[in-house]
This record gives sequence, C-alpha cells and structure tokens, in this order.
Amino acid sequence: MNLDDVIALASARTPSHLDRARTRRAARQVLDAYARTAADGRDPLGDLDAGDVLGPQADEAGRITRAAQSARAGWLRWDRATGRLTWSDAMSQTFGYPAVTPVITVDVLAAGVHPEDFAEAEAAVRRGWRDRVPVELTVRVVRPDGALRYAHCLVELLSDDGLTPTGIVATVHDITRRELDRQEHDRRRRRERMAPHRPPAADAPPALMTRAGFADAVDLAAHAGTGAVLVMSLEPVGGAEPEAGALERAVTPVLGGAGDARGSLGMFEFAVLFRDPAAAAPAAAELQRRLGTVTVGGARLRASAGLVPLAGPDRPSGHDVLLDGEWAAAEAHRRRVPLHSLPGPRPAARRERAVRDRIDAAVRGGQLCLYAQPILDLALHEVTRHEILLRVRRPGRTAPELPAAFLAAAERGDGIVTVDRWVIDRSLALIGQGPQTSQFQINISGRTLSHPGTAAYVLDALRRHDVDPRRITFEITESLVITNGTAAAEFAAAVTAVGCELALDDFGTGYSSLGVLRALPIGLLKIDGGFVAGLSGSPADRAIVSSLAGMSRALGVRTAAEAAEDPATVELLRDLGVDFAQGYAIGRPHPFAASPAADLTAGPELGRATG
Amino acid sequence: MRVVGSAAADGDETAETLREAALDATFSGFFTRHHAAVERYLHRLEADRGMVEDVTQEAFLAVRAKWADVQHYTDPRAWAMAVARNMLRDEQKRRGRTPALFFDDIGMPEVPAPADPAEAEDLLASWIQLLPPRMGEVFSLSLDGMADRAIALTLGISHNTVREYKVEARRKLKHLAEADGFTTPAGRRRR
Repeated sequence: MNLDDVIALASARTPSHLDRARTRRAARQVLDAYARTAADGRDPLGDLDAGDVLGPQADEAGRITRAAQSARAGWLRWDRATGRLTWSDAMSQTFGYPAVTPVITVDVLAAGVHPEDFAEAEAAVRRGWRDRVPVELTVRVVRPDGALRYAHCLVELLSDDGLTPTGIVATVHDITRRELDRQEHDRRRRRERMAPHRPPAADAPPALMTRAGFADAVDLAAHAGTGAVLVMSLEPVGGAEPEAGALERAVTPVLGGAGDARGSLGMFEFAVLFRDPAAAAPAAAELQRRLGTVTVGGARLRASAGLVPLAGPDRPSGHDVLLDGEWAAAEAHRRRVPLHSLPGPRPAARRERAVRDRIDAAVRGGQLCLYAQPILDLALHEVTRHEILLRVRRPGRTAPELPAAFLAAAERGDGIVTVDRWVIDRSLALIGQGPQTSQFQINISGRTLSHPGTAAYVLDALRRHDVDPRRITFEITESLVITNGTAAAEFAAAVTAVGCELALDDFGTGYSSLGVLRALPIGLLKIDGGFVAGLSGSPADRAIVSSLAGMSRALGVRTAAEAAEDPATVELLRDLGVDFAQGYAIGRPHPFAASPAADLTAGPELGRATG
Repeated sequence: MRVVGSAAADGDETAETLREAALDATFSGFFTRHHAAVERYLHRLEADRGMVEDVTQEAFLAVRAKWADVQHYTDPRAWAMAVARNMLRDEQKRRGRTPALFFDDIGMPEVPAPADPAEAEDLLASWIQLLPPRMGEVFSLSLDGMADRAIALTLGISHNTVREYKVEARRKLKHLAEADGFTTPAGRRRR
C-alpha cells in the first residue's frame, strides 16, 4: 500500500447502522441543546463571525484581513502598486503604537522584531515573493516594555487574476504559549536523554560505600549512641595477588545485606556497621566462614576481623572508629585469632600513636614505593607526562597496594606531611637521575600544602636533586584547597614562581568549586574519572566534559581526563577538545625506576591505528 | 392570567413554532448529510477524539442558531467547517496544547496496513495531524472535494497559498507514509 491507496480506502467509507444511529443521537442532542439556549435567551455563537464566507467578497486582501480579524489574529499588508505597508490595530498595539497608526514603514517592523529574526524573516519573505510560494515563519517581537512574544506569520501572495502577484498579506498569530510549550517539551526530552533513570538491576547486590561515605554512616550511628563496627582485613592465601576490583567484586555478594551499612575501606579492608551491637559478633563469625569459601584468582581469602562497639564517654568520629577497627583487625592477625574485639573506641592519644608508628614503619621500613602512569598528549598522540603514584607494600604481601586506607590514616594527623615529603624527595631524586624528558605530576595533600615550610622544602629538594622545575606539576585536590585557601595561595605563588605547574585533581566531584580556577594559577584541570569512564554511553557526560574543555580553553587552562579505559573513549576525548588522557587505554601504572628512560619513551598501549 | 386571548398573538406564536419546526427539520437533514464530514475534518486536525466530538457538537449548535440565515448561504457546509475549525483552534489554545503532535513523540512501532475504510481514515488522520496546522486544513478540505477557491475563502487565505499547500502537503504526507512503511503500490504485499 502507499499513500494513494490509503486515501482511496478511506474515502470508500459508507456509514454503518451504528454510525447512522450515532448521528441521529448527536443531532437530537444538538437540537435539545439549542432549545435550552433559546429558552435561556443565550447566544451559542458568542463573538463568532457569522458572515457567509463564500458570499460575494471584496478583493482577496480584504477577505483575508477580515478572516484574520475574526480569528483574533493580526495582519500586515503590503501593496505593490502603492508600496504602502498597512497593519491591523492589534499589531499596532503589540508593537507599542497607538491604535491609530495604520500606515507604517519597514523601519517600524525592524525596530519591533528581534534583530536576530528580522534579517531571516526578510530573506524568507523575499524568497517567497520570488518563488511565488507562501511562507510560514515565527519571529520574536520585543514589545516596548521589553516583554517578548512569539508571533507566527503566514505570509501570502495576493493576486487578482490568480497569476500576477499584486502584494503580500501576512496573518499574524500570537503563539507565545504554544512556543513555550514546545520549548519546555524539547527541554524535557533533552533532560530525559541526558539523565536516563535507570533502576538498579533487581538481583545485583547493593554496592559498597566508599570509605568517606561509610565513615559518615558510622558518625550517624555514633551520634545515636549505639552500634558496632566490624572491620575485616582480607589476606589472599596461595594463588596470585588479586586485583583491587576483582576482590571487591567477589566480596560484595558475600557481604550482601549484612548489618546496616557496608563499605570498602581500602584494597583489602571491608567494614560492616551494625546498629545493634549484640548482632555484630555472631554476624562476624558467619561472614568469616563464608569469606573462607571464596576464591579470587585461585587464592583463598583469610579474614582477620576487628570489632569496635560505639560506646564509651568520648564520642569519636567515624574516621577514628575505622582506624580503631583496622588496628583491631591487624591485632587479630598478629595474635593469630579470627576476631579481636575492643571494649570501645580507643583513647585518642593511643590511636594517634598507633597511626604515627605505622607511618614511621612504612616510611623507614621501605614499605612505600612509587609508580608512574603515562599520560597521553591527545594532540601529539604521544606520552609526554607521567603521574607519580604512591603504593604501599604491606609486610608479607608481594604486590604493593593502593594507599587509600594508609593515606586515610595518615590524613588524620601530621603523618601525611612525612609521607608527602618522602614522595616529593623520592620522586625528585628519581627524576633528577633520569633524562627529564617527560613532565611529572606529583600529588600533594591539602594538609601538607597548609603545613608551614612545604614550599621551602620543595624548592630545596628541586635544587638538591638538580631537577628542572618546569618539568614538575603538583596535583592538588579541590576539597583541600578550599579549606586551606591562604596556605594554598602561598604555596601556589612560591612554586609557580620557579616554573612549576599546578594541576587541580578530581575536578567535578566532591567539593568542586569553579572559584578555585580564578583564585589559583591552575595550569591543568584533571577531569574526574567518574565523567570519563562511561563517556561513550552517556550524552550527559559528553556534554559536561565538552563544556569543561571549552571553559578551560577560554581560561587558558589545559585539561586532562582520568580513567580513559578504551581506545574509543580516547578518540572521543580528542574530539571533545580535551588535551590529555590518562587511564588503562594509555597505560597502567608501572614501577617508577631510577633510570626510566626506556619506560618513558614507550608509546601508549593503544594501537597507533587509532591516531 | 392572560387577559386578552389575542388571536393575532396566538397566530404569531403558532407561526414562530411552525417556523422553528421547519428549521429543525431542514437542519436535521443538513446534520445527517455533513456531520461525519465535519467530525472527520476536525479529527484530522486533532488526535483527541473527545475534544473533536465536543467541538463538533458545539459547532453544529452554532449552525443551528444561525440556520435561518446559513441555510441560504452559498455553501452552508463550508461555513460549518469554518466555524468548527475556529472553535477547535480556540479550544486547543485554551487547553494549552499544541495543535499537532511533535514529530519526536512518535515511536517507530510497526504500522499495520489498514483493513477497512475506518482504519484507513484513522491512519490518514494520524499523518495529517503531523502536518503544519494550516497545511493540514488545506489538504483535508481538498480531500473532501472542496474547490480551491472555496478552501481559500473558508480558511481566509489566498488562492496561491491553497495551490502551493496542496502540493506541499501531499509531498510531506508521502514521506510520512513511507516512514511508516507504506511505499509499494496496491496489489503487492508490503515489504
């Protein structure tokens, strides 16, 4: 079938019995309604124009303008012979003129129509005149009081003989409301496309909370005055060292819905919050038994657990309780018992000493090591930068792990300054021994930034190790910058003065603020991986990354994207105008050696074909 | 109590009643002949069947009120169409809805071939509803066999516009039909 067949079939309709009955009923209803309105003396026509539309008419223009008036629309008429432009009273009022200005000039229109629309409308009308076709267009009319109206115009050619055009008449409807509806409709659709509501899969176990989120949950429970926190430190026995993601994926379903909240504290540490402290110990035994049955990458898991009841006179913060739990779990491991229960949170002094001891042991005992991850310059398609990352090698374990738990502990006291100084000194030492052909990005914590003497320490280290300051970028995190505004500004001024670059890390999450870009001499913006990982599947992420890149370009700031995990994402980042990409698609972190020349000049892991 | 049982007044009343009865009768004939066409016309401009039925009744009520004059018009049906259309557009404006659906609201389900004239009419109406409002009006009236001049007068637009819109509407409808899979001429199965 095609259009003509459908039309032919539709016109073959003959009224059925039912149709005829319905028509008779409808006719009766109209006559009844008419009898009622006549009895009431009402006029069912209202202000309807009741003239004979097909009756003898004056000229075409008069007929059309009269039809416009009866449809409560405005009209505008141009006569070719006289060159006169006339319009209706309604139009005159819309444009802010007294109703007694029937003859106008084009300038009047140009003054009232939005300048962006006027040129376009004029061109469209000229085209219509040339091609002898009617034109429909919508323009914005700016009224003298500044109010904006949307006007739909049907621009028609007048012709006495049906051939030669003698003028133009435009019928103008105010469609502001309809236009706003349409815009709102478009906006909603765009919003739906950008933020699709995806309910989580019904059978997926609830995701684990982050360390910070879990600490907040513990804070709330501690405030209520009751509960217990179970921290489990997992040790893979036999088999290969599992990856961080693999371990979490294996543990999440085991934790399932245990307790009232579940979090992942570090690479090997997981925690469960119980609002009812009595439920904690039996649940701990059951969880340990079930974790004992799990294998990850061929390795079985042995869990040492620490239990901290939220009781006692001083109310510690959630972070402190987690540190106590981790200490208790380590204690259980040391004593070779499955569970070590504390009577309550530890006294602050002992907790701080434990943290300090652990950090000292790590720094002096050679447990810290540095990795470097390549960063691709998307314009050159060449690795020109490396981010230096800290890893912690736990005694008895082969693979160094992510330092999340370690740094969380260090951040609680001044221990982090010791760690950061070690990282700065060690990094610069290694860089100084190498060819210094790459740009190196070193992370520095907010607490270290605000620590007096950090800038002096950095400048001294640069001199000592004979490192070109222009090769060094310091990455700072926004949340910390904000709490240390003045200190951050002082540090930034000191290191940028000698040629170092400042980068803003994890931009777009947490306590993001655009104000930082104005306040500090930031040279590089690192877009948080959360916006990058799902880039190819998310129009919303694309819009955000593209806008961040555009804004940064305008500010003279370069952009880098974290978590670029596949070649398609890298290509997309290049198209969106991002300057650098970092992630598994470019290269995984590798141990940062003293003579890294071979490592650093190696190309990105993704194929050249993508460039 | 009526004091004077005036024969003249009684006569006037009777004459009035007879006149109204005669108008009712001719109007009923007009209604039966054209009700379906007016309703069909409105349905091609508005997808909401309830609104179409209400406006059709309201339009015929107006026709009945003016029937004494309208019955002598050149084309009473064209007048009824014009009244119905103005009322529909007013109602659409009042309800704050756009006269036509939005193109991107339309999903892409498989559209089955119509099996009878009623289904064909519905399918056709669904396409015409997607045309720009004025174009849909022109095409719909021309489908009902109205002459170009009458369409121009009914809609209050120029002859030139009617001619151009008839061609343009058919071109757009063809695209819409093809988008729904109606491409092959009759006699062959679709796809």
